[in-house]
Amino acid sequence: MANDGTKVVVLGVGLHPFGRFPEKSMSDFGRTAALEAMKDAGVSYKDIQAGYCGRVVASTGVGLNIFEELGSTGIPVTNVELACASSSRAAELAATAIKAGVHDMCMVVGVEKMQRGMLDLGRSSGGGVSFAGAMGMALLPGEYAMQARRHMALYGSKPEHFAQVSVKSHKNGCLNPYAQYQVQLSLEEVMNSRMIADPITLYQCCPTSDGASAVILCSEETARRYTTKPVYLTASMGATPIYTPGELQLSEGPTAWLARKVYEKAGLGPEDVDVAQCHDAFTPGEVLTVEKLGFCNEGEGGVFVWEGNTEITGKKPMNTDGGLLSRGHPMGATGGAMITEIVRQLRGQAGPRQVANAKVGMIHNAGVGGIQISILTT
Amino acid sequence: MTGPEKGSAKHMVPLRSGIFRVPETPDGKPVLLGSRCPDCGAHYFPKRYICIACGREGLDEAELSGRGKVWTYTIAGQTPPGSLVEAPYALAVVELPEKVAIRSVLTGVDVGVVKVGMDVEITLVKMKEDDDGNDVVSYMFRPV
Repeated sequence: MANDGTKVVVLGVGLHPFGRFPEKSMSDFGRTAALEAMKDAGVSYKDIQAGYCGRVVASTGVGLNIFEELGSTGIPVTNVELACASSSRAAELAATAIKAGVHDMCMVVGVEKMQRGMLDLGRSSGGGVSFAGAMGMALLPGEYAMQARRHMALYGSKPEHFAQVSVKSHKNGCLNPYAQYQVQLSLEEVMNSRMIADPITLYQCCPTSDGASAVILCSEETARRYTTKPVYLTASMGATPIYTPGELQLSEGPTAWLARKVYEKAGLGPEDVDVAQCHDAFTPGEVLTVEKLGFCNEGEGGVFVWEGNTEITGKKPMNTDGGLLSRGHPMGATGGAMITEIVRQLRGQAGPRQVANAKVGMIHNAGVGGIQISILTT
Repeated sequence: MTGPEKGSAKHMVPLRSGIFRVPETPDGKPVLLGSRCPDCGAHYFPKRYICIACGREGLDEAELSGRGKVWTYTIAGQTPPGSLVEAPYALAVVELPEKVAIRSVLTGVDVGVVKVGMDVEITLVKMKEDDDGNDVVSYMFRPV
């Protein structure tokens, strides 16, 4: 394998709150997040050498529109799409350019402005309803629900194990002023909300959201001019599903396999992770992912969550800022928001959400199209 | 010129062609059409051009088994946009003996009794009528 090159530092992070802002545009969201990140990093726009824009639904030119809010300095701007993992993948691409010496300081802006209601995944490329759509099979909560149902059949996990993810998430969201939902929900409220795809009820689904995130990355050498306590993006890799003859699978990607590769690259193991983010678009996301990241044994994810291990005060604090469920999910912005929370945790800036002595953070972000796993360290 | 007679095969058109074979009569079974690699024998659904297992280009069309087991399922509580199937309904991944996964709605079953491991078989369903009065048909699976 080629020489890895310089280490990459996450120098600045920023957000536009997640929620519903019908009177604002994606450029408004992106500008707000970018200004916060630049202030956080202590840099100005002229220091940025390349831009990346993670977004899903918005069309051609959105990256340029957002970066031109900030200035017109001629830098290359690239739009990146990996569904709900767009800005995570964009961060890896920026890091790769930094390691290769092509750019030094890069900014990744993730942004989305969404309609209300269930995502319409039942369109064919011609624009009409697809076969799967017409046959009731294009149901994203259904995919997670089917993973949950198989987990329940194989390992005996229970509906309340999944629901507990939402209880914890909403409790954490109350501690995050940028979160879309800052309201506590009881287990009964979560389980009694409308059934979407059994066992997933309405409060076990993430919302559709507007918002933006911004992350500024640079080389270790450049970072020394701005901070004495850098947070490193130590490893970040992506993957798509792996075909195994004779085996059925439902996941967006080979999470356990990719996690092992990322741990190996970072020279760390699951026991070293102090705080994490995972893709809890629907509650089974957390129950299944804690197993795949190696935080507990296969099949034990339900009990692991039920017993409080993913709480802020637990063994493996997960989604300390509310996750997709409560923080919200403007699809293109989520990856950057995951990075933002992990960076704040590792810097000791997470306030009431702070995990004691957090030195190693892990991020799992998934989307239709693949997954991305990252490790950040102090 | 006389038109087609009611109850004849001319009255049935598939919701989408190339995915399954429409039976001769409305009480016949549809047959799923997948791919089979002539080199290594791997099966795929839907059809594909290249064998993922051995890399062979150009696969044979294969008729797939009409019986399988429920590998997993969910009960949809909300009708997705564009769906002709209305909630509540059971959506399953059916595992066929050829080791392919078929996503399918389950019909003829109380959603409350669906279980992982249930034996199910393919069945013809009428989804709607087209502008010429033909039955537009598709497949679902039902308990054996």
